[in-house]
Amino acid sequence: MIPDMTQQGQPHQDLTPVAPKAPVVYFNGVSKSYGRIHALSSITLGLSGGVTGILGMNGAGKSTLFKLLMGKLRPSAGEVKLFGVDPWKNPAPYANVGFVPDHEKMHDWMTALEFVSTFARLHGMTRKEAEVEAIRVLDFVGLSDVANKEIGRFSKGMRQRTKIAHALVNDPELIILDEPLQGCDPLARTTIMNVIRELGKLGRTVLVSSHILNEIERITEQIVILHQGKLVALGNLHAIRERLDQIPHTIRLVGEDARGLARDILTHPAVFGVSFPNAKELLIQTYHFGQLHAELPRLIVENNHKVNLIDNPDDDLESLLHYLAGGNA
Amino acid sequence: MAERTIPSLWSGMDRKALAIGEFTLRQQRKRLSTWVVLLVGLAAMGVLTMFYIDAMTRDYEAIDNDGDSYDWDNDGYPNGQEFLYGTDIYDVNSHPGLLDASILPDDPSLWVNEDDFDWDALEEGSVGMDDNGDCDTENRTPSQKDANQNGIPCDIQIVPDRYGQGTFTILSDGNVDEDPDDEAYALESIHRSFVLAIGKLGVVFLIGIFVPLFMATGLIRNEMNSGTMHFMLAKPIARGEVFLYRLLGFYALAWIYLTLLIALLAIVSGLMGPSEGFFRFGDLGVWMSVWLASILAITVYGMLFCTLGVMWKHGMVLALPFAAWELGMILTTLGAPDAAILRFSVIGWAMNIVDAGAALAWQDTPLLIQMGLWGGGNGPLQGSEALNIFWSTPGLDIGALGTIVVSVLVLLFQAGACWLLGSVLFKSKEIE
Repeated sequence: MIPDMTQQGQPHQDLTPVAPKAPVVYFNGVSKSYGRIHALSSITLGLSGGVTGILGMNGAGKSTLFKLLMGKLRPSAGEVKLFGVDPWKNPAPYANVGFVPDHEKMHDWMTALEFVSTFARLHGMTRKEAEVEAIRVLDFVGLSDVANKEIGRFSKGMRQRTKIAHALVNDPELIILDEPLQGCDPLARTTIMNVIRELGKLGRTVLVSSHILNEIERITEQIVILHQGKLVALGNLHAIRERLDQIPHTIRLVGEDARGLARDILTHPAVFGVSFPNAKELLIQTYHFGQLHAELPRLIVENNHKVNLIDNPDDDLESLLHYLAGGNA
Repeated sequence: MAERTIPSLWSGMDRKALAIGEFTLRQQRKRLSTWVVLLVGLAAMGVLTMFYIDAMTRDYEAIDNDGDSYDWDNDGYPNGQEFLYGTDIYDVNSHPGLLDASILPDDPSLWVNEDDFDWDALEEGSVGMDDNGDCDTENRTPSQKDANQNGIPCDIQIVPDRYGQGTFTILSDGNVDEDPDDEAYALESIHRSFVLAIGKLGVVFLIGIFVPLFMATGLIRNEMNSGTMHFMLAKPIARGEVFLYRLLGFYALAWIYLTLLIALLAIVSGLMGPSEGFFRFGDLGVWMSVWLASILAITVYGMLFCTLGVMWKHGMVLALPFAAWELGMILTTLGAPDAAILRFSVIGWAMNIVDAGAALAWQDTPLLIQMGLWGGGNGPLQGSEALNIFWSTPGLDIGALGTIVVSVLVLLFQAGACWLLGSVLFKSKEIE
């Protein structure tokens, strides 16, 4: 073979021998352990198309799952296939994958455009093509006006979006986002969620991990729940959520007048109890979390209350996990 | 989406190599440590060069090695002049002026450094000229005039030693070349000593080992530790390629740095050194071999240290004992350049290249050393011992050019082996 010195490009043999019906992501009895600690145990899972939320507490094995998929880790048992290819042995499938790692650290000395276009060139693009593509994806994530600023001066949300742009630059079939919303301001959060939904609409396979149920809920209905390295649930969030509504739940409100607030809210049929940790705080007990959560804003506005914070001290996911594990939350 | 050219296997590799190489180069440009390391290296070489400039501009005392500028009988005629005319150096009433009144006493300084080495004739066989004529005088017998018994009166017979490579035996007739020009000898031999010393110990060893120690050990490891390696490894590129291309970025910087540094040293020493013209073009062969050796040494060290960094997160701890080993080896090359243990080092092969290059460019050096140590029979001349330390005959017994070719191939093989090891290690590393 002769080096393509002019870089005009010639068609080449397909480097990824993708089996025609291979799922995009395929885990078959995959375990990963570090000594006696089991990060993942016998995960079997196949995913193709659409947005899937990977839910789990910190340490549930979400990042391990992704790292196995990205060929960073070798499975202790079972087989991992990415487009039908073992990613530990062959980096070729990454031509169709975009990965957003959860690491904070980035190359702060580069501008967003340099960062995205440099890594685009690792897809075999020329310098010029890479720059065109980088501008396109930076625009897609809403960073076109700061493309020439150094990443070191970016906010957390802008950094996350830069990472997403870097992952999208090759127009991938599969996009993996590890905790993309963590630490983001509300504006970045909304933008990132829109980007993810947009990708789903374009027919891409998207995997998003999070430890916050509400976040995932706003992005997708298809979820996978990991707990202590085991796959505990897989399917439509609403179906799971409906059953979750049947278990008691706490909502925490912080406002000016907690007692007045309690008086008005107690009239709602879903509420079965309230308590006051202090003069400005109110804890509400409910069996119909979804319904109440949807109607709370209306109740507050109608009765002219001032509320600074609505929060779920029972972590949603924790309750869900307790429920799935057969306990009583 | 814009239309893209589809890369072939080769063009894809070019583009990736260029992208990572460029990235690495820019990353190092942004790091303070890079500039500190490069400037410290430059400063160290600068200090050594200061010593050299001082040595070149110093006045060397002209020593009357044979003592014939004295006038022992106080008759006004220096011993050398009296000796030439056959008068008695111990008798005040015996001097050339008595025989021929037109012969006036010489100034004693004429009898210092009056019997120079015959520089142009530093070769085997019969050399040497009795410049001051005190060998071929009437009062000496033919056997005195041909003490070395080679049938030629008043010469020096240079015989290569039968076993020692590049060493010579000097068989001298009496009073030939016995009062050489100390300053000329000192300047020439100190100049050569400096070029060899800074070339071998300074550029090839110190720069060659410390620049990659600080700059290449972390090339892969730092990115693994900080998590930024994830960005690179999420792309369709093999880890062996990442390893190689990262180093190419380092090499681009290191090779340019070495080239500039050596060019600077060559220019300064070429202008300062003793020469008939304004510049010592004759040294360029040595500088070219220093350049070749240092480029190859830094290539092997870079590969090795990067590999050690991949092997263990404290790669520096593994690299330091190795650097100490190399220091031991370079000291060995000075004393025993053909020691078998040097085959198990990097620096031994790099030194072979410099030694072979110097042997080609300065073929008369072994003789220059021997002549200086002999010093006309009057002890070592200034500069001869330094040159004797820093000059080594190439360690391989296959001629200078053969030594260079073999050493280059061995160093390339070492670099390739380190790359292979590093790639395999990196490939088997799980990255958190």
